[in-house]
Amino acid sequence: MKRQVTDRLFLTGLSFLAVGVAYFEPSSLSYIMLRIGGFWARLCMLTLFALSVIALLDTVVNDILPQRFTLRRTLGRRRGIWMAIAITYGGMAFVIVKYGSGFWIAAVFFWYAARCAAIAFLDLFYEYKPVILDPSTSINPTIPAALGDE
Amino acid sequence: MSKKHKAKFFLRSDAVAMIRTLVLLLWPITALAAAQSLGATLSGVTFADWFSLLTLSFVSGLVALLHRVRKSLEAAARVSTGEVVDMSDRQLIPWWLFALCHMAGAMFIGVLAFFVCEWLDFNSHLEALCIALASWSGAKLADRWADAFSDGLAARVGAVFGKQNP
Repeated sequence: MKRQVTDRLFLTGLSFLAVGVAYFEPSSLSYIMLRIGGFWARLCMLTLFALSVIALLDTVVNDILPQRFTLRRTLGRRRGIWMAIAITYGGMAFVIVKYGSGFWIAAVFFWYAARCAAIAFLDLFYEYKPVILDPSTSINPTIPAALGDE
Repeated sequence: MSKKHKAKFFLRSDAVAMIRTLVLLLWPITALAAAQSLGATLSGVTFADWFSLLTLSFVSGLVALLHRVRKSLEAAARVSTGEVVDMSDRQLIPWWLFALCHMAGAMFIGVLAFFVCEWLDFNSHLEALCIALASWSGAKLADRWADAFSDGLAARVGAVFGKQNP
């Protein structure tokens, strides 16, 4: 299951930075948006933070720590978590455009969203690669089998 | 021809033709009315707004697509091991048509949600959330319709060859 570990670590780090900038950098656009947006803006940021924490835990526990440490709950929902992060980034970009701020800043967030969605799709591709390449191949895509030695 | 058969025949031919004609006749008027009522909203929507709206809808639609692709692949993996799977999980149409269906549904419902949110004057963050949820459900809806269509088609083809739909 050790797929795209560095990419996932990089993107979770980026999410923490985005949340940090929005809360602690008064000159940033995210900070202003957070002040104007009120409850929904804070909810969006907290959602991104929570999802990033879960994604980081999933990456560290399931992919970096030895195999005796596993987080089964996140393992089965990895793709959903990354798609949720992608939607959160997409939503932030949409709001930036709606406030009439820079289109290119929004494009950066869309780029992050695209990368998160790509992680989810690539994860699916790697899991079912034998079936996609040769439909007559039989695999067992269940999580315990995917964990290997367990 | 019995009364029942006559009624069925009427429903299948004349009534459908009548409804189609009515829809075609009403289409320009509907489009004009929609353009008039949405004119104010549309005039304030820039290219960047459209781009961000469609991209957000696209990303939300991808969630439903990802789920459906996973189900299809799971079904394909089970078929290869000889297991019996739910036919609705199997991908019966070409993959590009399948993806196009999902994305078109997601974007269409996303645009509708955008107009509703603009009309209700929602907060921008709440609007983004509504569009994301609506696009996801739009893609799911397109998926259901595609399933119903493929099931109907399979039943008709089966009827032609004297077989029942599995």
